[in-house]
Amino acid sequence: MNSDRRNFVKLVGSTTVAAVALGSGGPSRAAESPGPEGPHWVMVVDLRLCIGCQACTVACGVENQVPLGGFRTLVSCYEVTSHGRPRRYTLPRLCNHCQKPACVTVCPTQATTKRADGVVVVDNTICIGCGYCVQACPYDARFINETTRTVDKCTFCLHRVKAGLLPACVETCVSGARIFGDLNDPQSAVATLLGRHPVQVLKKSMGTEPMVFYIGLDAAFDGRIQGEQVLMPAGSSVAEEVR
Amino acid sequence: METKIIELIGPGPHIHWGLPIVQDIFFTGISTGAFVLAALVYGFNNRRLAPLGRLALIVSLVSLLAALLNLIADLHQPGRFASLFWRMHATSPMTWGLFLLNAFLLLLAVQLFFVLRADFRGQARSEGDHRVVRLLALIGLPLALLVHAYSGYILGVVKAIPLWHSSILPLVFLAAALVSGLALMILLAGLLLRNQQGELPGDLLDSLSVLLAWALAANLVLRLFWYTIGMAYSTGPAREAALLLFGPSFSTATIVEITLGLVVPLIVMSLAPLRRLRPLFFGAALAATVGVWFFRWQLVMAGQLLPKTGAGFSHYEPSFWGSTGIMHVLGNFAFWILLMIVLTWILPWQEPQSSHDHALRTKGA
Repeated sequence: MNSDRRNFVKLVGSTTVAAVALGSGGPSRAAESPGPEGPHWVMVVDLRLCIGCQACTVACGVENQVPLGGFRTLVSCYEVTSHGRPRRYTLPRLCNHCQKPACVTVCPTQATTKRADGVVVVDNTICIGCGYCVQACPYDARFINETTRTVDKCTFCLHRVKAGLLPACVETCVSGARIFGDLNDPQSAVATLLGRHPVQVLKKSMGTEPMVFYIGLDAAFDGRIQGEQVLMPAGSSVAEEVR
Repeated sequence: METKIIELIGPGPHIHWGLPIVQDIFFTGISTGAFVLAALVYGFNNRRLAPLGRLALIVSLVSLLAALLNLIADLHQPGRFASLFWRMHATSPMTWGLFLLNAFLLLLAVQLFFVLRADFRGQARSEGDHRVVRLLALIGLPLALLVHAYSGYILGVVKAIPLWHSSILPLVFLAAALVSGLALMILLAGLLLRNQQGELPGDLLDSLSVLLAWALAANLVLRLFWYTIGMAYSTGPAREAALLLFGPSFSTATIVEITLGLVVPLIVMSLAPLRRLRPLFFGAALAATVGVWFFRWQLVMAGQLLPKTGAGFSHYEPSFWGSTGIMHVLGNFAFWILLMIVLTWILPWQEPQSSHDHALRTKGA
C-alpha cells in the first residue's frame, strides 16, 4: 500500500524527490524529534503547474474536517485581461508558516506557537478565540472554526507528516504544483527547487518571512489584489447561513 | 494598455471583530474621559467642576464595567477568559491591556469608596481620606490615559491592516476619549444638575464646554496629521485606507463623524452666543458623543473591510440578533443605563457643599 502510493507519486514528476525523501522514513522519525538539527517543513507552489481545480481545497476540507465557510487552503482564481485578451490566473493560498509570524507575537495566551520544525500551530485547548491572530495575519490564513470555537489554520497536516505521509493538499494535487519537504535536507525536492528556481513569497514587505514559496508568482498578485471582486468571497454565503 | 483583474474566487474578509469591540472601545473611552474630569476635581482641586466629581467617578466605573462585558462577549471561548491571567504573553498588547484594565477598575472602586465613605458615616471627609482621594486621582490619571491609549495601541500594532497600523492611533483614541467623556458629562450635567435656584449650572457647563472645545480641536488636528501624513502622502495600502474612509465609508466617516461629530460641536462649544442656545448646546454635545461612537465603528469595521489579500472593497451589515448584532449594542447601553440608575440611586452622587469649601481651603492653603 505504502509502496503503491510511492510509485504513484513518482509518476507525478516534480514531486518525485519529495516522495523518495518521505519514503525513506526520515521525516517520520524527524517529526517526532524536532530540533535545531531536525527538519524544517516548507512548501513550494509551482504556479506554472497549478490548474485551479480546487482538489487541494476539497482534500484539505475532508482531511481536516474544516467546517463549511472556513478554509485552511484555497485556490484564488482571477480573470486577467490585458491587451484585450483575457486569461485565468490561479493562486493557491495557505498559512505561510512564517519565520517571523505576526500571529504568534500578538496571541495573549501563547496558544499559537511556532514549532522547532517550522510549523505554526494553534493549541485549541488553550485558544480563547479572541481573534487577535486572525487580525494580525497578513495572509487571511486564519479563521474562527465555529465547531471548536477557536482559531483554525493550516498545520501542514502534521498528523499525516508524523505518519510519513504528505499533506493532503500535496498528495491530491493533480498537476504536482504543491511540493512539500524539509528545507534542512539538501536532497529534498523543496531544497532542490529553491536552489534551481527564483522563488517569490506573498507580501514580502510585511517582514514575516513566509515559508511557502511560489515559482512564477506575478508581482500583481503578491499582495492585495488591485482589481474588482465579482463573486461572493469564498464561503461568505455559507458562513452567513451557519451564523 | 491597462491590465484589468477580476477576482472570481478569493479569501473573503470575514468580520472577526464586530460591534462588541466597537462598544468596548467606546465605553473605555467614556471611562477615561470621565476620569480625567474626576482627576481635575480630586487631584487638582478644580472648584468649578467639583459638583460633577462623584458623578464622573460613577460614570467612569460604570462605563468600564460595561466595556469589559463586551470583551468577554466577543471571545469565542468566553469560559476561558480567566486564563488570560496565567497564560500571559509579554509580546501581546492584549496581555498588558488586561492588567491595565483591571488595575484601573480596582483603582476606580477604591477611589469611589474613599470619596463616599464619609457620607455613609454622616461626617465630613477626613484629612486622611482627602489625601488618599487626591493620591488616587493623581495615580489614576496616567492609568486612565494608558487604559484607553492601549485600545488604540492594540489596533495600531496590526501591520496587516493598513487603516489601523499607525503610531498616532493611541493619541487619536485619547482625543476621542476626552471628547466622548466630556460631551457625555455635559449631557448628564444638563440632565441631573441644578443649582440652588433650580437652574442649570452655567459656570460648570461653560468650563466643560471650554474643555470639550480643546479636546475637539486636538482631535481634528491629530486627524489632519493622520489622514495626510499617514495616508494621503503615504504609500500603497495606507493610501487605499484613506480612499475607503472618504469613498465607501463617506457617509459615516466624513459626514456623521467628522462634520457633525467634530466640526459642528467645536463651533458651538467655542462661541459663547451659540452655547447659550441650550438646545443647540446639548444637541452639539450629543452629536459629539454619537460622532465618537461612529469613529469607533468606522475604524474597527472599515479596517476589516479592506481585504488583506483579495480584491475590491467589502461590505458589512450587522445582524439584528446575536452576540455581534444590533441587539447586543442596545443591550450593552441598557446595562449601562441600568447600572447608572442603580448607582446614582444608592450612592450619594451629589457633592455636599462642605467638600467645595474644603477644596477652597486646600487651594487657599
